[in-house]
Amino acid sequence: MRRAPGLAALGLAALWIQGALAGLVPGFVFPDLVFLGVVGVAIAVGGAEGLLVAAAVGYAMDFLTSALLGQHALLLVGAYAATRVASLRLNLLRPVPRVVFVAVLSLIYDLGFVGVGRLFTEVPLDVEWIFVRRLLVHALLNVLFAPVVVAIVQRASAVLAGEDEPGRRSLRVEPRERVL
Amino acid sequence: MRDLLDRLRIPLVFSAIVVLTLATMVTDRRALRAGGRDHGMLASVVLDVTAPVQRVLTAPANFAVDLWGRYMALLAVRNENDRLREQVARLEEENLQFREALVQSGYLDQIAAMRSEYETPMLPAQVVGQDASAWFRSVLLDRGRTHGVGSGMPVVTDRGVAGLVTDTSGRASRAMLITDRQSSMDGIVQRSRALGIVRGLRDGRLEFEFAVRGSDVRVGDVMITSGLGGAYPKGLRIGEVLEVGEPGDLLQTAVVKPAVDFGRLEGVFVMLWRAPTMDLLYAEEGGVLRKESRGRR
Repeated sequence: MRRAPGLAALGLAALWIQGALAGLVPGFVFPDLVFLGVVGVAIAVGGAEGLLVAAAVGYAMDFLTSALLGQHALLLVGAYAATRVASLRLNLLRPVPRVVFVAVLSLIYDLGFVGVGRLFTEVPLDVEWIFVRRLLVHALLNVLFAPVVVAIVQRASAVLAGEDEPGRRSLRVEPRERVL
Repeated sequence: MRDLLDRLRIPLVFSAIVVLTLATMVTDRRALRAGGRDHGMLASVVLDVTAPVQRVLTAPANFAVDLWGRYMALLAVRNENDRLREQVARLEEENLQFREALVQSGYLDQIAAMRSEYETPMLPAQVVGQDASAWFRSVLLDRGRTHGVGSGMPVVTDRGVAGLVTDTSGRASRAMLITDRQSSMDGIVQRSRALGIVRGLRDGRLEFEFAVRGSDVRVGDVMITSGLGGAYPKGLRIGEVLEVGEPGDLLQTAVVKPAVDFGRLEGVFVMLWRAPTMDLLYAEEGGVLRKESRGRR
């Protein structure tokens, strides 16, 4: 039962790292570690446990940013669900499907973020070239960092679940009809 | 029945979370619109835990940036020094002339009385973390309620206005910067007194929206707070007009460069003051603070 709190703590650590680095570089030229972490949780953990981790980290992010309370939580849970659905058709542990999926999901996630913000606030939705360029740079960085973050989440998940005994490799067999 | 519940467990949890997030967003939006946003105890705990960790994580990064900044500054220091000496001499002369004029007109005593009435205590605070999201602009400060900081208090630097405290915990607080897309404040052009609303743009600059009729806004004009918006006191420097857009039917916009360098925001001052509107909105936050701030005014 320590896996979910452990992964949520890892998400909080990712938030802290992002917060510290945001003072050095603009947020869009740094990968979204929390988003990638949630994708990793969807691949490595799944189930209601993973959903709760995504929601908890999302709310923590809402507390530490100017976002509306629930905005990150909603989109991270959406990203989690999308990853679970995609993993039914694609093997997201393989490089090519993962690159395509993370790039598309990253764009949808960022656009969704701005769109949800527009729905609930008076912030205008001005899609300028600078905005599109930032979305693309952010997506590219997310794609580049996805293998590392997913591997860290997988490893942490295995350690926290007590599956890291030497010489033992876990075999993941999942029924295809499970959606989330 | 149990099988059905097991199969529905994940969709049910998912739906419950989606409903919860939508409900909290609506509630938070209402609170934000009313100006009285407060995330409660859980947010306080997250802020309290985060502030010391962020301070440790940010320290090496700040050190590197500071070292580089000092080196670069050293290269230009001689020219800067000469220019500043010249400027100080000119300003001293100007100051002398203004004082003389004020004494002659008898306004000095009135201004001194006003100054003591309006003088606001400032609390120095360190920026220990920036907004973790790529789409928002806020900072985490290492001063909280125990130091007298409350939501709705302006955050300034020696250059001008930086933002507004939006969340507080015991030992930390979070301030939304004026460059955030959700931030808006009333501003005035110092030269022509043209009045309008200043909003954050996505690229770290500001947008000044003003009425076309009767407004005179030019490139290079200095913008200050008007004191009308109910959040900031009058006269804080906002920035300088960079571009003036084409006039519309009723409204026109100008791009403003913030006076504060948000890329190097390390030390700030929290004004231990709240506008009357903010005082009413955050009334539940602390009675002592309210009494003190009322006393000052």
